[in-house]
Amino acid sequence: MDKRRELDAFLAEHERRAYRMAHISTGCKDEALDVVQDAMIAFVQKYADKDEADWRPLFFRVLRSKIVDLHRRRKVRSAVMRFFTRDEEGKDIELEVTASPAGNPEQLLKAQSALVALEAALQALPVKQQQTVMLRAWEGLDTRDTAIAMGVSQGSVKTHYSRGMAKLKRVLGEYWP
Amino acid sequence: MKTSNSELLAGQIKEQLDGGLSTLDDDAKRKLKAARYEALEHASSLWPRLGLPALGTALASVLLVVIVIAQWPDTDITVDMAALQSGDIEMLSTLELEEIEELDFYLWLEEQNGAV
Repeated sequence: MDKRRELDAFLAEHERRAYRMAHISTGCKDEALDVVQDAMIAFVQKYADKDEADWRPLFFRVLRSKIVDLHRRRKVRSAVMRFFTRDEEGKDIELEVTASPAGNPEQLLKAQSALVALEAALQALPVKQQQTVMLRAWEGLDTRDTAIAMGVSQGSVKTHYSRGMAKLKRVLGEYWP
Repeated sequence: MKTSNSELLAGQIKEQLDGGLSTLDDDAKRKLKAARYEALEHASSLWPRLGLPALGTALASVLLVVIVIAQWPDTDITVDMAALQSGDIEMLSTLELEEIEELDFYLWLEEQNGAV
């Protein structure tokens, strides 16, 4: 049962960060919790027998995959909703959209919380840049492990990271001189 | 050594997001703990189940393919059973569907490991 203890310790160490990453990416607490639970289950089923040193990039790979799945499902749902909400002339009827808690980065920069501003800026990034920045700058994965977690080449990681950081600097520069 | 702007920003990002972890509400913490225990249950039930069904399915699939090829009416294909080493069957039985689906990733990973 040592393996179970090791898994428990590993997941306990990473669950909060994984949840915050999922929350930033999805903008919804409940969906973020579902994503993390699915990721934990898939991780133990697929990778529990792998070397413990490889667990971190593999766990974040599974998490990323679940987040991407969620975005895909949302896209499909949104397309279906658009189909069913066309008026007689075939024009789209505006759906009532609830603003995400993070909202518009520029508005939030005026709010007094650096964390809220950062989360808003992260949320505004394209998903790959957002995930690369969080894995590299926050989780501390190196380029190779980030590439494993993202399922892309190391060169691609470097590109997404530098573009993401440049955008964050532009948005947050005023806030964080 | 001079710290680059990018490193400074990375440090600020880490500091802010780490700080945000301490503000997680109790409900989220409780649900995360429950999710972890649920995942660990899957791990516990996985150990004894591993092996037999996967091996059985893989063997059945291999045998089915061999029989179909051997019985195919208008072909001269002969199956060299001696060439089907036990190692091949073992390898097939350890392949999971996910690994087959993500073959590109594993090939790439192997390439990366080879390059190091």
